[in-house]
Amino acid sequence: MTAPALTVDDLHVTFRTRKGPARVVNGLSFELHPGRTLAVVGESGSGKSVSSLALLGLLPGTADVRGSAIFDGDELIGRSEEELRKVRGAGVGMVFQDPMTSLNPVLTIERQIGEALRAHEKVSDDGVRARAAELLTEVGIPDAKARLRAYPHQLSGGMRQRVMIAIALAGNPKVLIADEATTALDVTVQAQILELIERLQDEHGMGVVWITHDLGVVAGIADHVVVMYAGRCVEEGAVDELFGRPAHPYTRGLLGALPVVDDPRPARERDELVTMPGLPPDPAALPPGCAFYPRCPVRADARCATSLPPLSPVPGSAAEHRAATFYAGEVTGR
Amino acid sequence: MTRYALRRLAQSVAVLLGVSVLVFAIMQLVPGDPIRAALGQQADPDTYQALRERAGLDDPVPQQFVTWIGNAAIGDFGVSFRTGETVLSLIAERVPATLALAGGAIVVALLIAIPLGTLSALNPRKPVDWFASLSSQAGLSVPDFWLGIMLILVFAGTLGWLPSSGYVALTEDPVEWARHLILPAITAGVSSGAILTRFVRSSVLESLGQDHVRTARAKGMRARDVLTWHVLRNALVPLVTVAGVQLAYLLSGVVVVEYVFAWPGLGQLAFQAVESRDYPVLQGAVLLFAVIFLLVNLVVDLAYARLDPRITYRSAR
Repeated sequence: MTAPALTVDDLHVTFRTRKGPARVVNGLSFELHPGRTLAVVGESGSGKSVSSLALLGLLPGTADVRGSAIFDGDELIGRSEEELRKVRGAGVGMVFQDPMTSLNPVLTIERQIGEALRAHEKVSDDGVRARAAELLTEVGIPDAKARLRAYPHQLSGGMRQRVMIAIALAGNPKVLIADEATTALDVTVQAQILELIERLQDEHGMGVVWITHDLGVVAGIADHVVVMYAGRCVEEGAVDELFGRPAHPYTRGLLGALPVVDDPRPARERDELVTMPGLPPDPAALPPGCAFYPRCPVRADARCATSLPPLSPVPGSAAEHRAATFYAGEVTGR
Repeated sequence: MTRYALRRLAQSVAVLLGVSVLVFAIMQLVPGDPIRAALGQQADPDTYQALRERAGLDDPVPQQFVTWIGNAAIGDFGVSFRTGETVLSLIAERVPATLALAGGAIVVALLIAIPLGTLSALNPRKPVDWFASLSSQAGLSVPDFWLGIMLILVFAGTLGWLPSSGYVALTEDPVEWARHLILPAITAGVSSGAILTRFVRSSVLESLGQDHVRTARAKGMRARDVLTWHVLRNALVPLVTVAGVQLAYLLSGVVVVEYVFAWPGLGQLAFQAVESRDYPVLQGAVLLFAVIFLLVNLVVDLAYARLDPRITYRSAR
C-alpha cells in the first residue's frame, strides 16, 4: 500500500474551562491513505469534529493540542499559524455541516470561491472567474456563470453544500475532511452529495475523512471505520468487519440502534430498536476506567471500572480490526 | 427599492404632520409672551398690539396652526419674532456649521469605536479589552462641557496649536475651517465613540463566532483578510443602524458643545429661540430635527439593503 496521506498519532485535545481541563480528545490515532475513505463515527460530543479542527489549528486559543499528525511527510501539530495556513485549503480541504451558516451571507459565490483560489496563489480576476465557474460545473451546478453572482441565500441547501465542496476543492487538496457534510440535508440530496464526493475522490485521488454519526452513510462509502467514544477510538476496522462482527459493546449498541430496512417481517413483529441509556461522560470529569463503563450493558471484567482497556486486535478477525474492551465474549453477527 | 423609498417618504410626511401638531401644542403650553420678550417691558402698547396681530397671536389656536402648517408646506416658516429675519434663512445659515460638526464628530466616533471595539473583541478579557471598556466608560461619564474646556485649555491654551472657538466657513478658508472643527468634533464625538465602541465589540465578537469565519480560515485565508472580509464586513451591517442614530442625534445639535466653542449651529439657534420665546424659529428648528431623524433613518435602511443582500424592500400592499 502507498504511504498514508495523513497519519494521526496519539492526538490529545484539552480545553481550559472554568470547571477545569476538559479532555475532549484522548489519544486518537488513525491513518488515511490516498484515494481511501475513513469514517470517524460517534455521538455528538465524542470529539470527532474537534479532532479534525485540531489538525489544522482551527480551534480557539483555549484548546491545548498534543500528539502528532503527519500530513504529506510534515508534522502539523505545533506548527506556526502561517505554516498551517498554507496547509489549509491547499493540502487539506474541509466541508462543514451547515451550508447556510458556513457560507458568508453577504458575499457572492464567486467572491467566496475566489478567496479560496487566491489564498494560495496569485490569480487574476478573469482567472478567478473562469476557475470558479469550472469548479461549480465540476460539483454539478448548472448554469455556473450565472450562479457566480448569486448570494448563498439564493441557493438551495444542496446547492450551497455543492458550493462548499467547490470551495474545498479550489486548493486541490490531497485530503478532504467532510465534517457531518450531509447531516443538514434532505435524504435525496444527501445521496447526491455522497455520490459527488465519491466521484471527485476517484477523479482527484483524494483521501477522504468522513466525520458523521450516520451509520447508513458509513456503510455506503467508508473503507475503514473509527468509532469514537469520549475522545477515544473504541473500535476500528474495515467497514465489513466492523459492521459484521462488532466487538466493542458501544459499537454493538450503535448498530443495534440502527433500523434494519430489509427485515422481511411485518413492522409490528420486527425487533424493537435498541436505545442506549445514559449520556456520554462529561469531558471535564472522565471516569477512571473505560469511559463507556457507566453505560455498558456487559461490564464483563472487574478491570473495566478502574483501568483503561487498550486498543487490541479482535480475536478471530483481520489484524486491523481492533477494539478497546476487556470483553472477550462471543463476537457474532447481529 | 425606489417604490419602497417613495412609500417611506410618504410615511415621513404623516410623521412630520404629527410632530408639528405636537410642537405647536407644546408651544402653546409654554408660559411667556414672545412679543413682550422681543420688545421688552417698556414697549409702546400700540406697537405691541400691532405686532401681536401681525403674528396672528390673537387668532384662535387651531386657526394659528392651520395658517402655520399651510405656510410651512410651501416652505414659508414665518419670521423670527426677535430679529425679523425669515426662519428659513436663519436655519439655512446654521446648516453648514451643523453638518460640519456632526460629520466631524461621527468620523471621530467611528475612528475611536472601530479600532478599539475590534481590538477588544479580538482579545476578550485581556488588558486591551479592559482598557477599551474603561475608556468607553470614561468617555460616557465625562461631561461634554468639561471635556471641551480641557481640550481648549491644552490644545488652544498651553500648546496653542488650535483655535479655542469660533467657526470659519469652508468656502472662506478650508484650512481654518478644519482647524476650527477639530476640537469641537472631538468633544462631540467622544461620547458617541464610547457608545459605538461597546457596540462594535459585541458585534465583532458575535461575528467572530460565525461558522463562515471558520470556513474562511479553513480556506487558508490570511488572518487579516478573514478579519476584514468575514468579521468586520459582517459586523458592519448592524453598526450602520447605531451609527445612524448617533449621527441624527449629532445633527440635531449638540447645544453644550456649540456653546463651549461658540459654534453657530442649529442647537444654539434652537436654544436661543427657547430663551426668547421665538416660536416661529423654534417650531421651524424642531420640525427640521424631525426631518433629519426621518431622513437619516431612511438612508440607514436603504444602506442596509446594500450591505446585506438578504434584505430586499418591497412595497407592501
